[in-house]
Amino acid sequence: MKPTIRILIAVAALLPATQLLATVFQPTNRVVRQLSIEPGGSVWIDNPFGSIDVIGGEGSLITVTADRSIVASDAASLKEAADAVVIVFEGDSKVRLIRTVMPALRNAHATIDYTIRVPKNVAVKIGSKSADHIRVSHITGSVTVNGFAGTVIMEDVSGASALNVVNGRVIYDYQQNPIAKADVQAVNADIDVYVPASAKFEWLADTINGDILTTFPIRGPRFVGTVFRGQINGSGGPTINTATMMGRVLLLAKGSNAGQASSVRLNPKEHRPAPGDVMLAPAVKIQLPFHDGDWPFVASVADIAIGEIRGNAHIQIGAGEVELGAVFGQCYVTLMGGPLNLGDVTGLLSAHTGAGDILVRAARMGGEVSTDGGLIHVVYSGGPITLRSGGGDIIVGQTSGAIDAQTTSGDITITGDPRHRTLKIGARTMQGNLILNVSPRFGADIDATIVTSDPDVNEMHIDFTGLTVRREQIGAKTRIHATGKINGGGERVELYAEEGDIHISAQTITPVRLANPRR
Amino acid sequence: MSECGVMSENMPMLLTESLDPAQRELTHQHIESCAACASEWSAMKETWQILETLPTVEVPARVKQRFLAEISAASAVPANVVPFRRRSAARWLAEAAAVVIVGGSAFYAGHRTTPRIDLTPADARVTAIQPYSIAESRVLPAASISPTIEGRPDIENVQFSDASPSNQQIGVSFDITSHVTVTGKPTDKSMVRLLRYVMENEDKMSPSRSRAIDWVRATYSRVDNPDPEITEALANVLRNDEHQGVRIKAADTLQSMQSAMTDGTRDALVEALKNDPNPAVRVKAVEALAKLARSGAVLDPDMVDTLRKKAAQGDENVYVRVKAAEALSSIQPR
Amino acid sequence: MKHLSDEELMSIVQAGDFSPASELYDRYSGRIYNFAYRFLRNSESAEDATQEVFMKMIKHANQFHGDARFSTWLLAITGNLCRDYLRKAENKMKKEGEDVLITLPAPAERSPHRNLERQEDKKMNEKIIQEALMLLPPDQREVVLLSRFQGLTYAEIAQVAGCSEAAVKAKAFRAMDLMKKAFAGDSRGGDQCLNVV
Repeated sequence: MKPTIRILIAVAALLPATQLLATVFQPTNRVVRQLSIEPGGSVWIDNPFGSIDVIGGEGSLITVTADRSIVASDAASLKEAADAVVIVFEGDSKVRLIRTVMPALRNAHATIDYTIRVPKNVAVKIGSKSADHIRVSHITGSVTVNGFAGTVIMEDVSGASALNVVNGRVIYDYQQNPIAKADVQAVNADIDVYVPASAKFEWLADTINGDILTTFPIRGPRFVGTVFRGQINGSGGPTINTATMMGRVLLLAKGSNAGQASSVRLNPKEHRPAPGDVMLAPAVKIQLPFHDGDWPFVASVADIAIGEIRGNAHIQIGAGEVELGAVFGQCYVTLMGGPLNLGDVTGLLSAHTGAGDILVRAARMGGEVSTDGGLIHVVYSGGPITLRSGGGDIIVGQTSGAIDAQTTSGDITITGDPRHRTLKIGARTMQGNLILNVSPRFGADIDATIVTSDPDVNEMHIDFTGLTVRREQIGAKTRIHATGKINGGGERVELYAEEGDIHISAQTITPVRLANPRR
Repeated sequence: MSECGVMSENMPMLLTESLDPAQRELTHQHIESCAACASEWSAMKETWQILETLPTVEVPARVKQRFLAEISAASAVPANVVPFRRRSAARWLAEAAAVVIVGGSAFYAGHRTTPRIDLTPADARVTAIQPYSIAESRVLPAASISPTIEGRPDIENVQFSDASPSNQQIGVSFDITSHVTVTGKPTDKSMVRLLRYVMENEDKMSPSRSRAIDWVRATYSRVDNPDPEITEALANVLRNDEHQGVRIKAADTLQSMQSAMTDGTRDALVEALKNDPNPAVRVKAVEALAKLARSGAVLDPDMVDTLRKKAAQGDENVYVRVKAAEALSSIQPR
Repeated sequence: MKHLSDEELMSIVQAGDFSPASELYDRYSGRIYNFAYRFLRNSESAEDATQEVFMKMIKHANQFHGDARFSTWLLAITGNLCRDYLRKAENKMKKEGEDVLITLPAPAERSPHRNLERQEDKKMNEKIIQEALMLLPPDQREVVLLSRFQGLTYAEIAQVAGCSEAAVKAKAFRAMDLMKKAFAGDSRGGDQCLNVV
């Protein structure tokens, strides 16, 4: 709001609630007002619940028609609501504010539907929470709409516009060639734009989860990350930006219909996304009990749950959740963000997510598992495996292959397969504890280090004898270093923990039994 | 008596959970299979619940006055004197604490010989015995401590204070380390407070804190209506802990304890979503908020705003953005 | 004084010092009074009973051995006292057996009030149950009060009420059955599932 606005009158109550009916429906109350407005002035409408129609025309007055309807559970709440929900007219002939005052109501819900006729050259600003529709038509001034839910319709709006909605739908219908920029931002809403076939403009479209479709021929389509940029009918026109996260974007030339529109996305199979580049097929949800053969799959947003992949799996997803019961082959899964839940992987495993937990029941041939932030839990690893977490615990239930585990912050717990007398283990945590459980006859060359600022709190607990433990002060920190051979020596076991304990405990461990993979 | 009769008789005991597990099982099974008993059970449960609404009546103040007056009169007659019983040593296990023992059992000696009794409720007087409270330092009179020293407690940092001329008291102070086990129900306030302390305080308790959170999650997910103090403690860990791994766990545990969330805990999740550098924390925070939105809880405008911004934030992890959008799609504006 | 346990305070009393009396009164007067009030259904009698209970607590302090919970012990004193009162008192509203139901409004009149979302219906139900409680025979009422409001186990109630656990169980059932009928009506036709012991 401009700071110079003088607020003149703050009054205007609606017609008082009249009948108290046995049913609790209030017939609509209507208010009609006329307000003066200077050419090029602004009209601001703030109405949380209810539809808004702004119609531009000739003339120099604003005519406001407001219909209020209240639904209440009993007569008392009805009266309360009727007294409380009012319209306030503020401002002056330069800027007119029309505001619905809607306090929290008990046992009642009120909506006010506005129809406002304005001179077509005014600027329009609308704020809404939930509206059946918000329609602005025949306006040459600028239009701003800030809504949460509802359908927003721009009809013959030639001024610059900025629309921001969360849920619902946006329909932008140009009747002339666009001459001013339009910026449409939505979260879950679809955006449909209709433009004369001869219009010249630059089109930006952005959606993570939806498709981008048009009937215009696109010259030189370019994708930068998820944003599509195309020139329609040459360069030099205004920019129309249609950005929605989870909805789809449709740009139709007048005279064509949606069925003729084609996607601007490249053929997903040919496209190899670089990190940060997510513009693949539209969102999918896949649930299959099994898939015979290899399964290559690429999507920007997808939720996948497949019982068995009887072949190799090659999955790239921008955001989503992936759950695979079993993969009878190699398994390559990479997500930019989202949790991974993998069952029995017979071949080599490569799993990565940008954010989220990774759970693997069995990686029979080992492989590599990494998350930029999240917990990693591998119940069984049968081969050499590398585990990396940007922040989060790492737990290995049992391993019979070499392990290389590292986390920036979190505990690492590794249990060795008792059937192996020795194993190569490397584990490193920058902030957390390290726990290694092995059978009493486990043999290894141990090199364990704790770096801590509080040596009284962090300690080494080693159930084996034969190690030399040294302490030294390094600046403000204490370094506790244990080296030596246990049970005659074996593979190298390197452990490093900062601000945490190291436990090497001898336990009788029941070996994990894996079922024979069915083929 | 018919079987239904036996089962009916068991129902009040079922309400107070006084049946042994076998009986309880049998009764529940019968209820599930017998329509008549099922409706009887449901009516009983309802009745039991409504009983609780019986208002508590306040005791009129005059009762206390009359009582205290009667006692004053009665104490003119010497009461039966029974020798003070020794406390069992088990009660006196202390945490790492400084303990000062005050010699002389002035309190008891004095009162045993004085017939006149002063009844003003002044707690300052009686410090002879203290029940176990977890505190940093403690002062104990010698008379209240068992002369038997059990085990071989580690006593360090011993200091002495000399007899003061007025009351012949001497003092010994020392640090003692011993191991304490507290048992109780997850719903006991002392247990909740203890867990809260372990989770929230002292940086150097970080490894314990991590384990504490795991354990809290396992235990309190089985409890109906867990104490909101637990979620408050987790929220503080989420806000303050410098260990990412611990914050991830805290956010994850909060997600599973939706029913005990308070406004404070929700704010902590929003904060984490906005600012935490670790993507896993943000993921869990947004998942928790999405779950909240789906359950129909009203999200305040600040939360909605944060979600809107996150959904549109180009450099945020795609999964977080998608989840934010998902949360928004479940919101009905009110 | 507030930091000491009930047992510790009782030890002090047993040693001849009555200063804990006030603290013990503060801790338990609410429960004792409410029990007496609900049991005797008369505020004056409840006041007298409460005062007497606490005096007995002091006078017979040596009978408290710490093998039972202090609250149970105190409630046992209360139970005995209240039962005596009732026997002696003028306002006898003793009714034996099932004819208690006759004095309550017929359940059919109340069936519309099943919508527990509405505050009025809830209040109505509460009133019905509370009335039913007051109209129970004293021994059954005692069991309900001790079990629901004092949280005693059946074993403890047996101690307080001076009867067997089996009797407690039977009384509890009959009490619940009566109150439930008053409020919900008898949902089963006939005698087949009604238990008569």
